[in-house]
Amino acid sequence: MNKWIAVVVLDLMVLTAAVGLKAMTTRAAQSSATSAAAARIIGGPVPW
Amino acid sequence: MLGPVGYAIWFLVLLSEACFVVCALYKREFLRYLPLNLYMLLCVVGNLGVYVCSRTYGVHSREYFYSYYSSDILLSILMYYVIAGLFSQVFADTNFGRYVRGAALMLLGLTALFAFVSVRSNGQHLSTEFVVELEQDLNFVGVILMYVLWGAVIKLRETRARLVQVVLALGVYFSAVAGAYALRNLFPELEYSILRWLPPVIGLWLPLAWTYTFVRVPEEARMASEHMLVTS
Repeated sequence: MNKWIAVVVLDLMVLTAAVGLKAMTTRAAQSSATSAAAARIIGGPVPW
Repeated sequence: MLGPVGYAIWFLVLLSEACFVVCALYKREFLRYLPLNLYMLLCVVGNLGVYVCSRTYGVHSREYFYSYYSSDILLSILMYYVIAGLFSQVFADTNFGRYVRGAALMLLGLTALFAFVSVRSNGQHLSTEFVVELEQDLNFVGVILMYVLWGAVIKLRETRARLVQVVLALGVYFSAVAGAYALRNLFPELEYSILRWLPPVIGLWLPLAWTYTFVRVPEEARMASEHMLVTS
């Protein structure tokens, strides 16, 4: 049981770090799907 | 539409992805590395589908939009499956090994929940916004997971050369993607010049690095543990 609590805490830590990193590196305006649509290019990761 | 450079990069990405799958089939390692091969195979199919949609309907059409994001969300989830598989391999001999699958599923659920809560206030286009948000969140969860995985590789003194190279290639890929978007954030004026080409070029790195690893590094190859200790 204790190990599962550790797993949940670890997952939450990873998610928090990911959200923090995302907030630092992407612009809020670009999270709009419609604005991203105009800037996409095939053959690579999504230019958000 | 894309120019000659765009199509050249796109074609190279497609070719290198197909090359990875063909090499795996030729060496009869397709099933042994199923998550990696499924990911690359879906990349090829997705790229072809997106290309057909872009030529048929145009890049500003809703059809292209949905084909692009639906294939991308599938690829993100499959990439997550690839990372979970790598965690399973690294932690196979430890007590934590049996918790990896549960932890991965829980994190995927939490990420989806977070993405849903983030976009819930948008009454319109909820599913579209959700797909884009989840795709972004999964990418950044992937960045963090790769650093956690690399820490585990160092700590557990993993010596399987293929596994180490696959993890490193993924780490470079995720870090470069995050770096590219950070640069776009810092230098918006470069967004439509040099930074425009960074994501597709980064997309080329992963199939090339993995193909090199699986062609040049034999399954039984081991790294000297001193090499790993130097980095730790």
